[in-house]
Amino acid sequence: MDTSEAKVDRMAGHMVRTATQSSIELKPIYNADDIKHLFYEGDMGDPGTYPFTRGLYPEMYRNRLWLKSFIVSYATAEETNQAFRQYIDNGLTDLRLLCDLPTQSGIDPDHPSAWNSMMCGGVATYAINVYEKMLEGLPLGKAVFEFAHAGMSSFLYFYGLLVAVMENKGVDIKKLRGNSINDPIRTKLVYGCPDFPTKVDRRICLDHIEYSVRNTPNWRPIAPNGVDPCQGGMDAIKELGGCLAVASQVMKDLSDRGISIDEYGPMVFALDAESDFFETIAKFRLARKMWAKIAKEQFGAKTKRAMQLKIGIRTSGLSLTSQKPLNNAARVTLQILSCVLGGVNSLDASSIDEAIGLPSLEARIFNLDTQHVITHEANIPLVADPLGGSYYVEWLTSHMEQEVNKYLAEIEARGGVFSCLESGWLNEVMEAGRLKVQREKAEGKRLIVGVNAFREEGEEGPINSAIRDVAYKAPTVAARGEKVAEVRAYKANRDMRRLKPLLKELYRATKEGRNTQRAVIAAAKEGMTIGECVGVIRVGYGINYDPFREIEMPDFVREIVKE
Amino acid sequence: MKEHLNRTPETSRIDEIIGLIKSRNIRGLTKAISIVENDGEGKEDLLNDAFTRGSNACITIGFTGAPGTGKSTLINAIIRQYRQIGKTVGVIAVDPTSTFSGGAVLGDRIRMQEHNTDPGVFIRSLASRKALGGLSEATKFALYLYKAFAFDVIIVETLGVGQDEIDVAKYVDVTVVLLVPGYGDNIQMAKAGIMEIADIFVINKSDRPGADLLTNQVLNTVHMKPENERPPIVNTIADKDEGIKNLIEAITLIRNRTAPHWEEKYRQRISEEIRSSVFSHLNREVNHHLDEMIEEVLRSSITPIEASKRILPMIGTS
Amino acid sequence: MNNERKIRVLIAKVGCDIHERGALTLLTSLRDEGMEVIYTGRYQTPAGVAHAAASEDVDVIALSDHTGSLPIIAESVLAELKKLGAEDIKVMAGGLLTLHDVKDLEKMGVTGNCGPGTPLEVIINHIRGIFV
Repeated sequence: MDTSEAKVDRMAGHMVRTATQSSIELKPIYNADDIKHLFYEGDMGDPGTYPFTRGLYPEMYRNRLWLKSFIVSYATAEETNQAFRQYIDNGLTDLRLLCDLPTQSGIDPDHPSAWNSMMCGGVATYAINVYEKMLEGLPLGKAVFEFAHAGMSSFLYFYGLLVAVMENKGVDIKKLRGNSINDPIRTKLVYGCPDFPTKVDRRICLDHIEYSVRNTPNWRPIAPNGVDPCQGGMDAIKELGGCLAVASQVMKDLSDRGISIDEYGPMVFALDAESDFFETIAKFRLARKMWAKIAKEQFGAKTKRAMQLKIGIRTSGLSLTSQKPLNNAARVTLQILSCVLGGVNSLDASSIDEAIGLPSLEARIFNLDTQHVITHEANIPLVADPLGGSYYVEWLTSHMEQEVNKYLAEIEARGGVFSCLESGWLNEVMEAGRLKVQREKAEGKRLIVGVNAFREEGEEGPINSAIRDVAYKAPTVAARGEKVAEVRAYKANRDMRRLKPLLKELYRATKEGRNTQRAVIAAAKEGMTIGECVGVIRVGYGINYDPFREIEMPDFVREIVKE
Repeated sequence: MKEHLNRTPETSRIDEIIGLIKSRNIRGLTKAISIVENDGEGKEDLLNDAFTRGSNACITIGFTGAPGTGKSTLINAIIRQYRQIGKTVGVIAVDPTSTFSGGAVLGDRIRMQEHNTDPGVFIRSLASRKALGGLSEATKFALYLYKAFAFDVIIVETLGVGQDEIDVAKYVDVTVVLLVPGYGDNIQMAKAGIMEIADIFVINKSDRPGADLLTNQVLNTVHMKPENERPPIVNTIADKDEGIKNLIEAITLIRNRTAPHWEEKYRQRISEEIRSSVFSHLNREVNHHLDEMIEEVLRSSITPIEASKRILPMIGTS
Repeated sequence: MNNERKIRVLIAKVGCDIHERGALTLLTSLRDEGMEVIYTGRYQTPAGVAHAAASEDVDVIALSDHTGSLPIIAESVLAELKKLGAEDIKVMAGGLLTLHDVKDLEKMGVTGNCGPGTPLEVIINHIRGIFV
């Protein structure tokens, strides 16, 4: 769906905007006067030194390039496993695990509400058997895993599965590397996930973090997510502000559990690479600077590690168009470039056919190759923070810092980020942002090439058509039916004498306010499904078993509650 | 013109709709509301029939609360409770119409999905139509139809913004005002006319910090009333189903409390209903002559006061 | 007279699809066109959507989905409408659609099926066109 076309002279052309994508008004030129309030030490600093504006490491990409990652998710565990192996052969170093949409909402494939989206968006990873198949033959101790699911139950449960699989295979779980998004604000703000109410989200978020800090030190158990709020309508200021607010709140909550920021270690943010080139670069530089300051000044961080913010990127899916999809190659290339210039740590770039369906293998390889061209032909990563010292970029970074601070103060004045979520204020802010963009597009104040401008009949030739023809096909009714039968058979064949006491322990841990993560791992090993995990925790919390209120609590859960 | 939009109900169609309502078929109710909302032909026949047959045995409850107070969650929980004891529930969700386009986003379906497939629950979103004389007028007529359909419980949900929504309280038995701890804005908004119409205050999310403060604030605003007329304060945690039974008891209590004065209250309501219908009729009549008079005032030939005097005798002649 | 009947539209999402932007954009755009729009929110059942459509007496249900499951969803929503005797309510679909899906949908009587990138005016004209 898009707005009507703005009339812009194709050949002559003129700029229609004087402001960035986030409506920061710009002058046509910046000079030394604009940055005279900045100090090199303290505002910028060499790469590898506080406040890390210019990068986390002294030699940046010379030592290690950014991690290249994709969300790899197909309808079946076997296909997904195949794809993982193929990508690893092609230079992919980071495995983003996802599952289908019902699973992300916390229900099993045999739940009545699962039918209409089953096996869409990923594998129906309802229990450990599926995970074992999906991870078969992959280097568990060496790979980097990322969880980008929607529901908060997913992080608790799938981390549990990953640990369970490693333990079963005798791999040391201390070797587990990667991160969970595990952001309780994003999950409700953007996805309205039904699995748990916010207060449960907030508790299990901390359970997961606490367990991970003590047992899997190389796992980053939260990565506040700005990508999805940004796609939902937040501008760059509010995207970054939101991440900082979530990270700060979690650090406060963790200190109540006796975990200091130094014990926690480096923070990770999942940020959006948007189309506005310099604004995006400034945002990445600023994110590192602001977190370093918050960690040091507000949380008293003493170690360098704890002041360091790692940035994981998802490039803007929303910026991609289904009209003239070839243009997406230009968009994604610029977005990747902004990430490299901004010194990010890992990069999940969109594929050019993503606006049409799930990405094809070829489009993904093209995407990896783009990153190789930037590295090996254009030599971009040879020097750290090449834009450091630019009048414009330094001014923009500094200006955005003031704006983000204003936004943070407003969140604080409204009682903190959770109050802002529950009062609906964050939603209003996001919705207003979304409508603003919609209005600007309709009024021709924001041009999207091939959509509301530069769109003529007959401009699309065979290259564009070819991209469009790689159509994704949703699983058939028969395949869905087979999945339901498979789950039912799996559930029927478990050893309930072993599983029941473990479910009971999860119920009790929830009810008594103890950490639930270990109980989830133990029960997952014996076949507890995602739906049961969600249901038992809900019941332990005193709310109804099924988040959709469609199915009854299974008898064995009823028995546990009675005992 | 637009064939579908003009699907003018003939007498036989109105009879058919009345028949459907009598047999408690939802499609009858739903079509009737559409005709009334659209000021369609046959509207008065429908409403006269509904009023004649409508039962006052049901209980009508107004729920007023700002966004973020958990109103929908609370109403969901109330519906669930009433359903458990076998009562049928009709909900009128009142939403403001966009003044600019005349369109509207009617939003309250979103959180009521739980009862979407229960045949004992009927939910309808009303948009205010200027020509109908505003929200309270539309709600008044919808209540006729809901009563004729003989729901046991009828819930009217409003945001409590503006006089028009406050007026809705005139047509229901019990008005519940919803507040939550922790938001200064809440009580601020509540001061603007809402506090006066409350028969019951609900402090939802009462496990949050600030609940005591809010209770005190509410007590401070109502302490002047004699003790037996003071609206009770009920604490709820709607997402945990806590306090819902107490709330229903309070609602029943308030309704019974007014029972001895029922006739008086009913007379008041009827008087209000006649009066508001006369005003909305007048309003429409005045609109017919308005443009002409505006021109005259703009030409400086008369003053607005003189214009109003000229319109009065013209009423009923067009 | 000046109170011309408004077109009422139910925008509905069935299942666990999390993508909401298309539905939200349509919501405000249709309102701006003077229509009355009701949005079901995410995570709905086909029966729930049909009941909502029937009680709200809408003219059109616009199904939005980005999982590729629109034909499956439309089929079950149509079946539920039939159970309620509300077959007069029109159904249209938008989101992730293949040419094959569009054919399947048209066979069921679901028209106005809009794939990614469909201009808003096409959708609006389709809805208005139903009433010409």
